Amino acid sequence: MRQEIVNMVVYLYIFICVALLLFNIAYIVYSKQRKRQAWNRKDRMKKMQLSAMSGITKDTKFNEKEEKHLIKKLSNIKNLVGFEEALAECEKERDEKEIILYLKMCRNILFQVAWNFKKKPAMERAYFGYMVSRHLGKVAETYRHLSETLLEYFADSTIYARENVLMALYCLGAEDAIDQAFSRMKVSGYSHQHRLIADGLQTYNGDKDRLAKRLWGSREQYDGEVRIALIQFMSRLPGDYSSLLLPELEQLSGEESFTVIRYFGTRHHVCLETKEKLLEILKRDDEYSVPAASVLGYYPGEDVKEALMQALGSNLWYVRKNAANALLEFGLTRAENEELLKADDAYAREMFRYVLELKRQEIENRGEGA
Amino acid sequence: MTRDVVSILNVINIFFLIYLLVYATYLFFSVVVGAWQLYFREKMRQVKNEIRHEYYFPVSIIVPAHNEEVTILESVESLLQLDYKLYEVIIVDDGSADDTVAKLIAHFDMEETKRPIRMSIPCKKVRTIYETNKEKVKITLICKENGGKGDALNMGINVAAYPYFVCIDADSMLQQDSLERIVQPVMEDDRTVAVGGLIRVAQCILLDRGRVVGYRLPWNLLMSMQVMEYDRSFLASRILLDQFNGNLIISGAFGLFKKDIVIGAGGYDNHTIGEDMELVVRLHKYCRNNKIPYTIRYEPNAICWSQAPGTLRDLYRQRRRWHLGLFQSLFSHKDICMKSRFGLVGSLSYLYYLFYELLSPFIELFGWLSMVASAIFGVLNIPFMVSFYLLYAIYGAVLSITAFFQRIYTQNLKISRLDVCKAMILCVIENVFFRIVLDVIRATAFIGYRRRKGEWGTIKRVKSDIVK
Repeated sequence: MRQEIVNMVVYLYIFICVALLLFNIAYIVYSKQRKRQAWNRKDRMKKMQLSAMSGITKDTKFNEKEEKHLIKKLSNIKNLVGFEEALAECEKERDEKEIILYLKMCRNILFQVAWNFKKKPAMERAYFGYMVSRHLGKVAETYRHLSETLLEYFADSTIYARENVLMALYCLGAEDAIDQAFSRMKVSGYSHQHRLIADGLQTYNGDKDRLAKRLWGSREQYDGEVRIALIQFMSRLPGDYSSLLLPELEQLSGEESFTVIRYFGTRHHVCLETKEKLLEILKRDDEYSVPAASVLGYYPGEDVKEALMQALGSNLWYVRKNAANALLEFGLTRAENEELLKADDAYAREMFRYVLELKRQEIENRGEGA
Repeated sequence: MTRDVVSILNVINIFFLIYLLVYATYLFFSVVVGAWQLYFREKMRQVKNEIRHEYYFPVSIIVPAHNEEVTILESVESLLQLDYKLYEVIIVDDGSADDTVAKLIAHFDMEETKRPIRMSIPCKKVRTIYETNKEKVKITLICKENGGKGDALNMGINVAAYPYFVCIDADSMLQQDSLERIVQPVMEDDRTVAVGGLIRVAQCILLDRGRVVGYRLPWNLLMSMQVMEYDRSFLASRILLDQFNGNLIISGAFGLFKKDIVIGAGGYDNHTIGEDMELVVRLHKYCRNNKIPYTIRYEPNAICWSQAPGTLRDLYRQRRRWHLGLFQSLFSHKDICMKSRFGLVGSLSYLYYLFYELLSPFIELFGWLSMVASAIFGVLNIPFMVSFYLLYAIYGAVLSITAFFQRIYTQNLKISRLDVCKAMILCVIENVFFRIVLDVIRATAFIGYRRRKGEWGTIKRVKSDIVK
């Protein structure tokens, strides 16, 4: 009996060996074939696009049969990949006007395809989002309503689907949809890296100032990461959002507060009203004093200089470092430099000496470079 | 008496049969899951399901070095070729007796500074600090008293300016996109506290400005067998464990860590020679004990090319160190074993490393002895034993070759027909002979353990000819 079991197991493993070998061979053959097929699909799509673009006018339309055929074709991910790759090549080779007219001509088809993709796996929905963000920016007006369908893609999505769909919404300039997308993400418990959102918002195809104010108004409905991203987005815009952000300095909590403090340190957002508040934060000598020490370098005044000199003796290493850097931003007199280099506090002295040394090296390197 | 011995031998035989079947099943699942994951990732990449970004987050790269004058310049130069926007390189010289420091200062025109260091983790004293801003990124060289690799890494963490750090061995080289690849899991999920990269044998490739431009299997038998072994274990096994956050090792040759979590967990342990594994097990414990949501990931597309030992003597030293490190890590964290709080990490991962990594040489040795005893007492079924052993060897060889070709095809590397033939032969030799060599090394690793437990054992570095 035992011998039979062992024999059975041995046969099972022989089978597994053979299956693995076959899998290996099949994979290699399939990889080669897949590349060839993908190239053929792209080639066919390109020929079709070029033929549609030749002699195109704003009145050119697909006939019903062609439309149905294309909808059916593009609802398959492999064909959509071919379509997108072909379009990317056409964009390099053809006049932009032709591309714009062609994309406008495809409006009904892509709306229907977007609808069909709602039922597809997240991986495929992500690709549709990518295609929109890559090519439909130049015809954003025509496709703006596509954002309503794209919002549906957030249900049961992956990070890639969310990222690509958000990029699509930015490129379509769909303000309402972006607001709704962020709210839905919070409701569904999806967290998205603030760096991705902040950089994505930067690509928004529309009035960024209006978008920033609109989103800030709805911030309570968003996740913390989105709020941080929003502040970062605002700090990269030329507009002044001090009045919106100033109240945030009253109650400091978490990463968001760090971002707000840093906002007031970007050169074009220096707001003298915040000076007192920042000095107060510096005196707390806690984690929030770290960014406060850094941004105060942009706020002129004897009171700031004095506070930073005191901060050089902070218990926190990073406060000392940022205070030393900020003091250099001020441009100290020789006597003040000497005073700091001879300070009683060894930690303060050491840090200031190091930062001064770095500055010297930087100037020397710049001189060499020039 | 004879009947009792025979029944004991029968029990032992059944134990071995089960032991080998469980291992074979594990290998099967690991290779299949590994291959499937690679295939799936490739498919995802084709349909743009990846987070690619202009700016990720800044990273500090820490390179601990001890008598690395032969390879250090090449290694640091490769770090300057990385396709990444914001990072710094910190080399920590752990009291080298050779010209490591002098070479670095001269080559990169470094200047001495009085940089204050925030000592978040205790480590040996700093002697001198050098810095330069003349290269693509800032390079810092810390010269400190000798304290071991863990101590050097702790110093690097103290000096690191950025919230994530990468540790890399001084004899390893990164591909141009490796840093970008290893940070991607953090961009996807910010609960990620550590990411391990894939370590491959450097002697196989030709690098041109961080890009792999040629691949060939080395003629040195020992090195080429390690190629097969690395591909199977790094590729397959770690991908399987990654499916349930169960990896207990991130190789010291290339790994990314979240700095504040590592500092919170106490940094690297100076008293173990397996500091890389020990830290990962401790991170699991730290996060679970403190109820910190976390994941420890493995990224097979973040590739680090590391020099494999070319002589039996060097191989012995390296594997002895690995095995003792494994023992020290498992022993010092035995409290996680089979505790519900640690989930599959404490059960499946821990037991796998215990029975199939740490104890396997002894179990296998015991197996050979019991086979001899069975033969003496006439209870050995020789035809069955031979067929089982052959089948097992073929099975292992097929798994190795599957992992090897998966890696070649998913990375779009081109290999010659000669190398295909070499790989076919090597996978058999590796499974039949190399495995026994490794078993002997691992079984004898404990000889002189008390006397030499803290010793690293130097491996002879050779100037590589892999950089074009």
